[in-house]
Amino acid sequence: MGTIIVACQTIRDEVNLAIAETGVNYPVLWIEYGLHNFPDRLGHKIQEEINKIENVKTILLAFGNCGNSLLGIKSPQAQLIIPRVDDCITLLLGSYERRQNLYKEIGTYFLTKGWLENEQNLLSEYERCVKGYGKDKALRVMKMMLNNYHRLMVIDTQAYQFEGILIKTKGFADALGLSHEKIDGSLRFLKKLLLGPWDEEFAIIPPGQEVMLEHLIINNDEGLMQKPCVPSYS
Amino acid sequence: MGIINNVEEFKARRFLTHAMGKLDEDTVLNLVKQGLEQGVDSLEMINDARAGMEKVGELYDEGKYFLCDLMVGAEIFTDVINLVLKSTNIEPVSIFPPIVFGTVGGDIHDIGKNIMISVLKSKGCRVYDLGVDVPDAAFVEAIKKTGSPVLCLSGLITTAYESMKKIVDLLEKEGLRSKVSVVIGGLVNEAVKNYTGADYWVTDCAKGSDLCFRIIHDHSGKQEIACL
Repeated sequence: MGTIIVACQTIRDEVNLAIAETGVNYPVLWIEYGLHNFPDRLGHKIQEEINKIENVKTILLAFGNCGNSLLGIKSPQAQLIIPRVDDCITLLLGSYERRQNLYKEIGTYFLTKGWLENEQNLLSEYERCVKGYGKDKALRVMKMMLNNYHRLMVIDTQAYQFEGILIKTKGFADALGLSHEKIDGSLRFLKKLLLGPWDEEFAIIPPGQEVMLEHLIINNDEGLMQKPCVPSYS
Repeated sequence: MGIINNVEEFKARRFLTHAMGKLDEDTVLNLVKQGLEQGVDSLEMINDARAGMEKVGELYDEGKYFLCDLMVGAEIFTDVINLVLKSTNIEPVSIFPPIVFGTVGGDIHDIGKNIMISVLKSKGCRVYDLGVDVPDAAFVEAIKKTGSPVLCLSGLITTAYESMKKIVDLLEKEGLRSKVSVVIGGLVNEAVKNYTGADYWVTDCAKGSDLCFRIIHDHSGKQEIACL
């Protein structure tokens, strides 16, 4: 009765690096990429794969709760260990607090190489939009999508050749009027998932029990920044 | 070519839905302009455009449309509503309190919020829009100030749920909870509704605006409709 990792293909490079650096030898079941925009389907796919797992005591889920995709998931025989993070970006930044602080600074859209290569991402949407509707409309639509975002941040997780993607992301940020920044990622969270301890940063779901929102949500005790709020009356 | 009789109008309206589903902006806006010139019911036209948007959503689910197509649809739909608002000069019904709306603290997404506000306005409803990343207390203050029976909380990221829950708790603490229906929208479902303590959850702007409309109507205790 051992341990198995079920992980998102989008963070494959980072999970593999964490495995190499920690030296664990658990098998990994990769969940196909491209499902982030369809959280229900992502959830079904994860459940489908979990249903195939037998003779395992612990399943480590290397996922964030992207789009609530983890809700309702269960394993009849194994316990599930799940990072209590809003999405996989937090996993790659190393902590929920760091993610929150960056977000509070300024509306920030994060990207990694995995997202650029594997998911329907902002850049691919922009290219598709230019092709289908012309540059002017594509810019208008992307600005609508990114309303209130002011920064594009590319995470250097040290798991891949980073410099190669920066030309693309910089060009996109310039076109949309976003500032472009790099930030070091961290494998702390992923390594802690592999090695423990599974403290308050993780949800431990016993066999047979479904994942609920209450298991994953983080109580932000420090409260939100109170700031002036000017309503528009119409 | 004008819309000359009921049959023509029926055909034009079906064509409007079809063109919306095809994301054919020029045709959609031309049909709406023609319809407005010829006195076609503006709310009916918005409903027809909405039906086209449902088709856009279906095609997205089937993988035939992508996110940028959804956004193009949202833009055309917003343009339709703005055309209607501009041409029909809909006056908000001031005897009813405005609907308080905002994206909760920690979240800055506002596409859905803005579309739903446009739909509400097209029905003559007043909206008190607090914007995005709104502090919890500002919602409660707005309810106190306006006396609104409807509070719409929007959020597209999972961290928004904690803010929604805190706002509902704050309403309770201030003795306002029983007077206000809390509607959450965005990335929400029944589990999120239960967690936050909200009364309703919506993921469809048109259905959400119908719901708000109904709440205001019920709250007014009057037989006539609250807005238009």
